[in-house]
Amino acid sequence: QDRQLTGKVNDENGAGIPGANILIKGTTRGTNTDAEGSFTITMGSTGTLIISSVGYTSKEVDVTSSVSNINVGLEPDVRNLGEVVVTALGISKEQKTLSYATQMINTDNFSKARELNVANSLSGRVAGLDIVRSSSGVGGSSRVVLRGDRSITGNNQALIVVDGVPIDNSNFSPGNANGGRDASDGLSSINPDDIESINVLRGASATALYGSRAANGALLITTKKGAVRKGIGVNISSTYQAENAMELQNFQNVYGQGVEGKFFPNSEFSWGPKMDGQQVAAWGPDPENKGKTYAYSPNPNSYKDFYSTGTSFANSVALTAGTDKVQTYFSYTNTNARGIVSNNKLSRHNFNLRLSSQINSKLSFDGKITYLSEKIDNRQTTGEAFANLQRHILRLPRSISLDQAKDFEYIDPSTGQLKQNYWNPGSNGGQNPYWIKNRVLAVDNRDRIYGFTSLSYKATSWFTLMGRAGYDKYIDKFEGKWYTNTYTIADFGDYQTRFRDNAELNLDLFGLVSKQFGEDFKLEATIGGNILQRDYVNHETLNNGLNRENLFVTTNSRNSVTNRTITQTRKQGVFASADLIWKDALTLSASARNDWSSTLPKENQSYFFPSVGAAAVLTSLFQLPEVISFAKIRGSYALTGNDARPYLLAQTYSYVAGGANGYIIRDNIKPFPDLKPEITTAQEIGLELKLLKNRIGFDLTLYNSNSKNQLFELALPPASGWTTQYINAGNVQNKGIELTMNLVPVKLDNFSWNIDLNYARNVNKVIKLSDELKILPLTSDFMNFMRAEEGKALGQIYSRGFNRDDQGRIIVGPNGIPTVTSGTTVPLGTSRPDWTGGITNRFSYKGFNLSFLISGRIGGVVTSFTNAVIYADGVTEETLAGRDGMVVEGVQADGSPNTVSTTAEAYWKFVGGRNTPIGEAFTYSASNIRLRELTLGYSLPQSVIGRSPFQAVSLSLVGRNLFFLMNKAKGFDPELVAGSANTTVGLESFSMPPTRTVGVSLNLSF
Amino acid sequence: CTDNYDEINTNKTKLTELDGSAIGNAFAAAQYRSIQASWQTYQSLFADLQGQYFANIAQNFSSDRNVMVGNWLNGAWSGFYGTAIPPLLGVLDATKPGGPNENPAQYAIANIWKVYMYLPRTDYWGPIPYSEVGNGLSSVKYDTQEAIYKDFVKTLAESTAALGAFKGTNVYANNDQIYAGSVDKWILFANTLRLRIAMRMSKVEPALAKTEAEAAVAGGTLASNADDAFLKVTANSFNPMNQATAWNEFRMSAAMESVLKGYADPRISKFYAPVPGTTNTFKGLRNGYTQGQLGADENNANKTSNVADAFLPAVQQTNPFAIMYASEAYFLKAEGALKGWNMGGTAKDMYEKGIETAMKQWGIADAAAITAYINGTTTPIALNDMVKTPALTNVPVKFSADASKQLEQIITQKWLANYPNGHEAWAEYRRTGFPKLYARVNSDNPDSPADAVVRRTPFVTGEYQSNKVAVDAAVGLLGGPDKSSTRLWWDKP
Repeated sequence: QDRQLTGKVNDENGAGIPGANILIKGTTRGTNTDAEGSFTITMGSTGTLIISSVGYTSKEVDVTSSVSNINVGLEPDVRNLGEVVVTALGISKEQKTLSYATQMINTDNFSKARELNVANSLSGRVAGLDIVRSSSGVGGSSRVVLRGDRSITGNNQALIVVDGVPIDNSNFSPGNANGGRDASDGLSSINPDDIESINVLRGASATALYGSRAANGALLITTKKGAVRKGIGVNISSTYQAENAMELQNFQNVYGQGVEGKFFPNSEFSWGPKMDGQQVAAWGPDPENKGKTYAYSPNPNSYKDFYSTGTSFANSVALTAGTDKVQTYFSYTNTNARGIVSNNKLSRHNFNLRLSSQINSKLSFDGKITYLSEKIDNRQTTGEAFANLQRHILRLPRSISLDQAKDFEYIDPSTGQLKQNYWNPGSNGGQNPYWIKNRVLAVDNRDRIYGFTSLSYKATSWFTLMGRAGYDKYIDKFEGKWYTNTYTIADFGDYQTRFRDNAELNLDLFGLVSKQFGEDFKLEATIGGNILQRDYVNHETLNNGLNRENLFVTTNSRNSVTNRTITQTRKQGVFASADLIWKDALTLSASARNDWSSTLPKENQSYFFPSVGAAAVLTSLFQLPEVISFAKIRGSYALTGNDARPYLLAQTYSYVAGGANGYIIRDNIKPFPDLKPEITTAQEIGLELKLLKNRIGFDLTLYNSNSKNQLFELALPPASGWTTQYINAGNVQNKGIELTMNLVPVKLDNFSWNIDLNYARNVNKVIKLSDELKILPLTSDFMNFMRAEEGKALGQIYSRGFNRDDQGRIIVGPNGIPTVTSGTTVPLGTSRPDWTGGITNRFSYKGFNLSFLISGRIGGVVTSFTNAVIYADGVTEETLAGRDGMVVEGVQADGSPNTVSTTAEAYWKFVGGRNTPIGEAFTYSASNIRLRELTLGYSLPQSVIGRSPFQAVSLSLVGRNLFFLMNKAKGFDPELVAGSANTTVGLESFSMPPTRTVGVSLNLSF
Repeated sequence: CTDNYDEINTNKTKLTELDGSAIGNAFAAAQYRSIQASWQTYQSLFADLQGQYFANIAQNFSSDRNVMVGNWLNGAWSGFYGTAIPPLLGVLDATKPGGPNENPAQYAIANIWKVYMYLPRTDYWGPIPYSEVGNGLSSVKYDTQEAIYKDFVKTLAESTAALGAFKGTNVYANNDQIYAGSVDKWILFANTLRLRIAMRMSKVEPALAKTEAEAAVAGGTLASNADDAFLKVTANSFNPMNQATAWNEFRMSAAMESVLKGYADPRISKFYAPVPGTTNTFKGLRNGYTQGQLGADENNANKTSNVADAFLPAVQQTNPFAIMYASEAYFLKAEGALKGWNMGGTAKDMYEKGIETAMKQWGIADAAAITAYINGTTTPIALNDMVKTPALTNVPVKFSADASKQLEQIITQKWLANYPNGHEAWAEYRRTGFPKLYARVNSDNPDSPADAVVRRTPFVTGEYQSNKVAVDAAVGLLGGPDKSSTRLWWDKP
């Protein structure tokens, strides 16, 4: 009679293999392992199980009647024949036939050491992937760029594809150094619990089938699906994390509020007298404090104590069930997080339902619907904005305690109105940090639904027709409440609402050919078409002041402005690709795609993207020494594109409110009737090598890409009548090397040690801008001027600098203060790193596993507008020296050594400050190395849980961003920037402190 | 199929052409935006401080210590050329002879406004893009200030001549936010502007200045307060000065305090508010205090005189913005008469008529009080402030028989009358040295030390980035380095 057998299938390291096949020999009865590698099968009292999984050697196990639970270890298939990866359009291919680099990411830790944005879990794991994150608190966006920046002013972020269908990854307000409001991005809408695997297609060759969206590489995310199994599999996981701010700034604790050594209760500076606990006048307009005094004393912990412990609690349940006809996967995850600013909160619900069905022997169905609902309270304003809380807490005079600052509002007795209490009432630039925290409020809501349905029809043994419709829609709602008396930016309060509706529809129809010709030849081919339609509506209302104070409704406005923008684009494409495979050893590949885009003029609407490639498995072709288990070389060439945005072809005019009948104005973008798409040509060659029975694995890639026809936004002289002109010109080159390595230094029965290592170096160079143009200004703010320059990498930062003599000595003026360049003409360096790398060590001992990831981002510079401002404020340790007089090292105009004395206050106020800071003095190497992730996990052995209802129980302790092994930036994390735009990398501006996260994760399956 | 691509790629929230019905709306935009564009970073932080109508109290602002803050000036430049000029170009292109909506009267008024828009800009920078503006190219050349000024007077002469045929008619109707389309008023406005420009170049081009000034006066200038040019404001196009006062950055200057108190000038309460908590105590402060000095109690925002209530944000949607006053025409004629030009009256008569017109404009209608003021013999006072500021000057209001005092009296009264038009105050101070404004208490700009007059603003950084060839060439047109100390073409010692 039948009985139940439970078991687990493990890889060589003892980790469960999900999705492995278990078949009872001589029957059609089978099942698959779940996400943890566990399975349950109904079988007779004895029998033989055939256990197989792609990439592993199959194994047969005899089961005797006394066994109710087994553990099976599979050995990796050293010939590496079966490894299948997902490629463009969701088509699975055998790894060995690929002519380009891909990297499968180990996503085991993504749901344990979880991040609120999956993008951040990728940091340090992928060769050639550069991630910087916006400093907007919980739920912020991240910038995900593969193999460097190609487009000077266009989109450089990788395409995000979920189960074969691209999803939108726009960030409509990426923010810049001048300040802004970040928004959620595409990757933050993906639930880490649902991820089965991520494959990274780094280069254009890999993504050529995406045509005009392909230039930036792609992240292909495969989500979980149901499996044939008995009963319902349940997986419950729960993660709790806590994070704390790291204080990187060194604040001074000697001098308090005031200037020129004197105390002033309304000063925003810390250049006052020494703090000796003397009684000084209370600050602020609150009448209750009138005439009071307080002790003028240091507050060494005020910055750190401002922040509280951030928490994140995620609970997930996943159900799988399946017969051989229908398989289902359902999951729900609830995430609640609170940032280090205590009213910055996130609450998120993810629902995911996947249904797969083999309708009959020819027809199969696959479909998925994912729903996300997210609410973020008080996402932090970034950059130079007066609404950026960081600005105000960093600038807090050292003699003002947090307890005092918490007295941030009062009722004006004469009017009964709520007013801000601040040391310098009405300040232009200053605010009480607690007022900004509690009286400048924001709520972001996102509802997103995405998914697909597909039908496959296997017409013959070698031809399958597939139709797929993918849809991604989200609605963002924003509400901003600024209380009356928020100085300068909302003296009369403000209320802002925004609705954003974005939809992307992808329709694909394609035929798949897989045909063997004789013994030796196999053809794998695809032919098809795609229609992509995008619709975007943004509707916002700005009250521009409130008539009745602090009543937040749209009708209570002093000067209401409503804006509605609509954009619509459509693209149609046809494509074909073919791989001709000889003896499973040699592959020749070619693909072609033609796109027609609505954003381009008629004569340029159609454009063609071909690619060719070849791969050779040397170990199959030649007799190589035994030490080499597997060797493959590959090479490819591809042409891809990057689209233009709509409405650039013809002059438009806007109607705006004003005057008696409204104003009509010519829009300031000069029409560009000859618009062409950007074209990237890319070549790459690679070598894959496995040695010593896979104990050592290498994957080395060399690549080169040139992006031409760049659509760049050129600032015209405003006097030309337009401020912006688009031109197609330029040539940006990215050359680089990527290396991934896997090592298994120790492999014993109970103990194993694995090392995954990645390294990438990308050399970016602007070969040419245009015939007339050698320098292209990209962005400028109070301190920086970022530009593209021929012969240099993108993202060159310029600022003001010290005038120097021919020996490089600083020339000091007659007042004893350095003289400086009048314009932002001094090159400070490039904002992009020289190389990035990461190393993951994984140890496994019986049920324990320990892994840690160290990652580095080396080279490049970062400038700190924060430091420019707060050094001028006199709050940092660096400003202690020379308070009573100092002689700047340098020379006078005549070359003699400078002897004229000045003070630290005069020096820093001249060198720093908001309006004309000398960027040279606040520029640092962006190199940093950090312990990015540490996890310690324990899975209960089967001997313990064998009789319990559980199939697997594991507990993990996790830590993220625990500490810097090196950080050359002074007082901040160089990877936390104001926003995710191309031009914000390398520009730090009032960013939040980095946080150190620790947590615990529990996983149960039954 | 790509048949519907044209429709998909048409922006549904925009107009696709500027037809005849839209020209009035475009003119309205040009009028408003040339005033509103970056008013704070342009006029308030530079001309108003250099002309000493106001002194800065924002501790972290340095332009009152003569620092030419690049970002501010950059915003001022791009605000003007980037937002105010394009709608004007649209009007000129459409209405010009042979244009798609040819209309000589609309064209003439747009040209008069164009001169008004450009004048303060060339008086800031000297050479600026002018003749090639709107070329759509990546380089727009700068014209010399001489060429620009000569085109100004030529344009005004041609435009007033063209408008002669349309007297009594109405153009642009209520899209004209200044004169509701009255051609007659625009002729007076144009002649007064022509007189102002003629006077400005009187040192460098005396003969041309005389011809132009006499022609302007013969054509008729603004005569009474009914002719005053004010820009109407609305809920969606508010008074930029009223808006900027919300930021609490400036207060009555010491120069104004010395003069207004010394003359017992009734306008003091029209211009400025009493110190908070008082009803009739006014207090100014010197220009160019250090951050430390600004931190002193006596310079606190609550211990000094803000602008009068009429300039506060509460009435930003109703208080019209002053463009040009009739009183200015009389002071210009008074100065012209001193030079022996035919201004239709004596210097003394014009001076006194100017004062009377200015007083009435601020609602001071009592004839006896005005007469008493005109005959006043008191002089500006010394101030008991932290730097022991002396009296600004020793001239009284009563028109002196001493010819050497007359010019100072005329310009000092014009300075009072033109409040709060900082552009004219600063330009005329550079030209004449009057009123005898105070030296800055401190300067942080070695090019323009505390006791020097700032002669211009340097070319902006944005131009060095986006229009480099042209701005480099423009430095050659300056007749000196691109510094705040280099004198403009009309600014002769």
